[in-house]
Amino acid sequence: MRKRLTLLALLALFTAAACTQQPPSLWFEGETLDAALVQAKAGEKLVLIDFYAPT
Amino acid sequence: MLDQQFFNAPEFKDYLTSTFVMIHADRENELGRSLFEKFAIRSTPTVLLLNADGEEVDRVVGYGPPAAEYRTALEKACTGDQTLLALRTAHRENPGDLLTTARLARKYETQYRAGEMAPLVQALIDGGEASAAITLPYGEDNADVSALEYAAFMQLFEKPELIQNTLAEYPESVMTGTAYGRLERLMRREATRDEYFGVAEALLEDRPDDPALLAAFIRASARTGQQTERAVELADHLTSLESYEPDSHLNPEMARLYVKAGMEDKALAVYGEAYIAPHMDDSQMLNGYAWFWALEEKNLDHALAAITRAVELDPQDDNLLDTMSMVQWMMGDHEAAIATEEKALEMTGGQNTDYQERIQKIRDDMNRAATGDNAQ
Repeated sequence: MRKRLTLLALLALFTAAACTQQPPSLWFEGETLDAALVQAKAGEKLVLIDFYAPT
Repeated sequence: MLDQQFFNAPEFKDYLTSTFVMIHADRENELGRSLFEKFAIRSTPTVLLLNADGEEVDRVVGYGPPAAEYRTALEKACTGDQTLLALRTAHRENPGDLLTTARLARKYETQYRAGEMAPLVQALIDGGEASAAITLPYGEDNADVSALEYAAFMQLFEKPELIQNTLAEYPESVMTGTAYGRLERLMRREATRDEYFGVAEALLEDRPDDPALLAAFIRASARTGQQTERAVELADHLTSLESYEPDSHLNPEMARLYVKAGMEDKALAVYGEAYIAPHMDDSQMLNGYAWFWALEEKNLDHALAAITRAVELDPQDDNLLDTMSMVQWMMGDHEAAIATEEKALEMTGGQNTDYQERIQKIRDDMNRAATGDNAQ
């Protein structure tokens, strides 16, 4: 009985985690340009900076 | 619009995430502010591309639909021998190569980097006949222009006093619009206004039927409130020409000019029902039209019809509702104006401070009207 409860609890936790998990953001969430450049190097990508004026 | 139509569009997501590490930069946070400063960004939207070494590969300035074309422009900015980085490298390796010099100057021009363009333009002028023998494509039709001719027009950014000479030397150039654009800016600037309205008059003696020159004078006058009488005369002349065609930038300015001169009938003739009729499926044109007449507090019935149609076409655009509210307010229908603006505000999640302020202003105006106090 105890073992079954534990499995159920784990299942509930996984389900909750799956429900709250957000898709990865399109936008870089670091705080410096250098950090973005490091990420670009690792992924063989370019850094794209979108300069915009919020409406 | 770039966010809505490109960055947030599902069809481009895989391309974007597989090609770029993307930073959203605005002036409201520290990283954004530092990036605006570091890269001397002058206008938005601008998209700038860096390689992993932090070198600027290229930038794409401005946005206009369709989004698929923007993707193509972005792809071109990433690779090949015409990127900013490739042209800068080629120029550094062979500074005497005038074709590369011209291409790099053109690149800076399209990115509004007049300071970096200036020494290249001077090098092309100094190149003389060698520059005249090189051509580069210019304008929407990609017409061939010699590098010397190109440089002559581009040097007007640094030496506007050469406008008349340059136009005299290249009277039929596809680049005359560049000279007129420069002239218009100088007519609009207070310090140079008198001198360059004079230059425009001198040019009009030789080119009285040049629609682009007439348009430059009219727009400058409408924006500055100077030379109104003369501009009205020129607008009458322009609209009587066989070559006259309505223009989405010029016609509202002509209407503004006519309204200012107390000629509402002429304003409606250039920017009224007949003008907007072919654009009844273009929500942004309708929006501009309705907003214009709301600010002028004239032609309001038709402005309301136009913006109602725009909202039908694009019901999720809060800007359109904002315009509709403005029209309703100017018509004296305060309650409808408030309800419409509240709907626009709701669409932005209650965040838009302009809309919040406008609702308050309409309420204040309504209260004043109720108490019989007409003071604004």
